Amino acid sequence: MSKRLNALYGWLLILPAVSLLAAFTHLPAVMTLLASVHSTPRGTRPPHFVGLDNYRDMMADPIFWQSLWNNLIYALATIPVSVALALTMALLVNRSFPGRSLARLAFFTPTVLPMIAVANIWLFFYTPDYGLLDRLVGFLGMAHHNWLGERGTALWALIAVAIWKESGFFMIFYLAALQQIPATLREAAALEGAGPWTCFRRVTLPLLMPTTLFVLINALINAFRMVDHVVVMTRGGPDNATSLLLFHIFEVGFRFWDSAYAATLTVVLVTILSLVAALKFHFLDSRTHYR
Amino acid sequence: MTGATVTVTEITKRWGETLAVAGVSLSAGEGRFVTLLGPSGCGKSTTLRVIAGLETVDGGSVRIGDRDVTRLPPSRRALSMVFQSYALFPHMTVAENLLFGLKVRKVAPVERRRRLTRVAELLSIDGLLSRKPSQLSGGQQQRVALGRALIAEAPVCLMDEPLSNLDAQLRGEMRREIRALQERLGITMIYVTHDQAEAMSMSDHVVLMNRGAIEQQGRPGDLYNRPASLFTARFIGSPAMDILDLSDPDLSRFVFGDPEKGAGLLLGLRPETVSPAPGHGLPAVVEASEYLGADTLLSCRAAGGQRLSARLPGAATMAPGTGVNLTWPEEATHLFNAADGRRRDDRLSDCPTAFTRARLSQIC
Repeated sequence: MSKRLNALYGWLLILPAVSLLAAFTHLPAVMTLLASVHSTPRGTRPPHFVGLDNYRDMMADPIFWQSLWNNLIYALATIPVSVALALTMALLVNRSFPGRSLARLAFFTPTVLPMIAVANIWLFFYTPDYGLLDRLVGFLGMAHHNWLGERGTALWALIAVAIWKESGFFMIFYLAALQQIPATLREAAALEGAGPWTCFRRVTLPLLMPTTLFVLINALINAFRMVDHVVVMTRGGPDNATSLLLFHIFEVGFRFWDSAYAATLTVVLVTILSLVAALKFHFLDSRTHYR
Repeated sequence: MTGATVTVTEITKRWGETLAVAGVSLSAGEGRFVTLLGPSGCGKSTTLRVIAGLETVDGGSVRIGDRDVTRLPPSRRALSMVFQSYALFPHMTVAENLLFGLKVRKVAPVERRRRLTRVAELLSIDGLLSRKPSQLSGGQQQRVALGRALIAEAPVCLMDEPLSNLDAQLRGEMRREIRALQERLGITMIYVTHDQAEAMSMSDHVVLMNRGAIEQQGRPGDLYNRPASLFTARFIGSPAMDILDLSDPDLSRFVFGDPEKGAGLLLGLRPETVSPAPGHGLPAVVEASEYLGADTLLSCRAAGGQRLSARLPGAATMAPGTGVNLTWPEEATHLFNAADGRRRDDRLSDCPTAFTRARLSQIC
């Protein structure tokens, strides 16, 4: 076979993958970048180049800053709690006890449920006066709350939902990683005199670092990606107290139809995510042991 | 450091319905090298893990020194262990691996350094201390695992098939080295292996296990020279002992001088005791001859189609189909019951020579 024909076959073979990737990932990315430096087309007015005007507008947009701040709190609260919870649950169900598969299933169920369904369930929990939470609080003799309707509690109510939904998912990764660690390592540690805590801290946890890195990045992406529960439960309210960055993009793009500004916000969101991911890889890789 | 006595009394371990260890009792005196030998699934590793405290027992007791440790966790049994997979911590350097137990047990830093230097020199792994286990060869990993067991300076050391992942040459070197270290340090060693040559060459005492129970135990020579059962006879020695059926009238006549007397008995012969005897031996036909360098193994077929081998010094090859007469000294005759495999020395007296009787009186 001639060299040229060989190359042709090669190109033909990767063509399906390349065309899909180009059409649905690369092209939209470039289009978004272009859209962010143009004006929004309206009726008969076609888009025209505006340079960094959209970015200047963004800097002056208080809702953008509010959403970014909300998202930061949301990420800082959900990530550590859900990862710690995931690890705890994985350690719990990694031991053998009667009803182990049932416990694993129970921990994993929230992951299987669609976010919309989860949001609806929690909507009931948070309902003022007759919701589950208020009933519980009332039983304990405390005042009722409008959990989703008050600025002070709304974001935390969403954070609780996200943690509840995500922990089970991350647990699966930890469970798989725990089962990869040979039992002899724990036995060797035990023979050397290490108690369960020392064994966990000195042997298990370091060997789980690759998983932790993976889970952290996923948790971070999820913190900026999940928007369904905001739409179902609060629509960003009250007074933008629960507006997350992606929700703000959704509002700008599909409620106000300001596609150029939505593109600008998207570019910023993607940049933030890539930066943090790059930082994490750089920082954690040096102290992660890969087999 | 000196050894401690390990006494195991009537231990039993069940896995659900199956009995993995059925009433095993053994004792390893101070500074002795005791090997648990047997085919896979015979319960030798489980027995070792029970001694280590990694498995709980369903019955029986384990004593180390003058303490009953049956209910104690592994860390409080004052023993160290080398695992088949080495079980080195992959995220720690060699030095960290070696020092892990000392740090956990809060040994003073000065003492830690002293012991690290000593063990590293003892095993010549000084140059590897800052490497990770993944950067070591199998043999080096093995030495580090050995070092981690020795640095604890525990009176008892357990080893679970530590050499099975090494190549043949390295295995031979490590055998000698482990034995030398054990003798030099005076520790009590309990060693598990399925390799009978390893057990024979290293041990003071061999415990041969079969199906969760002890088949026979004693000095390596005892097991080799006087196998108490067919199982021991077949397991110890390489090439294995040939087993011939004495219910064959021709063979029975040759051994007992009577075609009926051998009924229900089996004859065991080690190839190294069998030799050609022109004119008066058991007639057989050579089927194959294997030249092994120092000696040659002749595989023969005797009357009645029964197989037996002869190990002859040097290059004594013979063409297949050659007829030979084979004989063996009286003391090399092993008789077993065909039904239960028990040794039947009492039936040796039925053999027609006075030589046998003389030897019997010597043994009994």
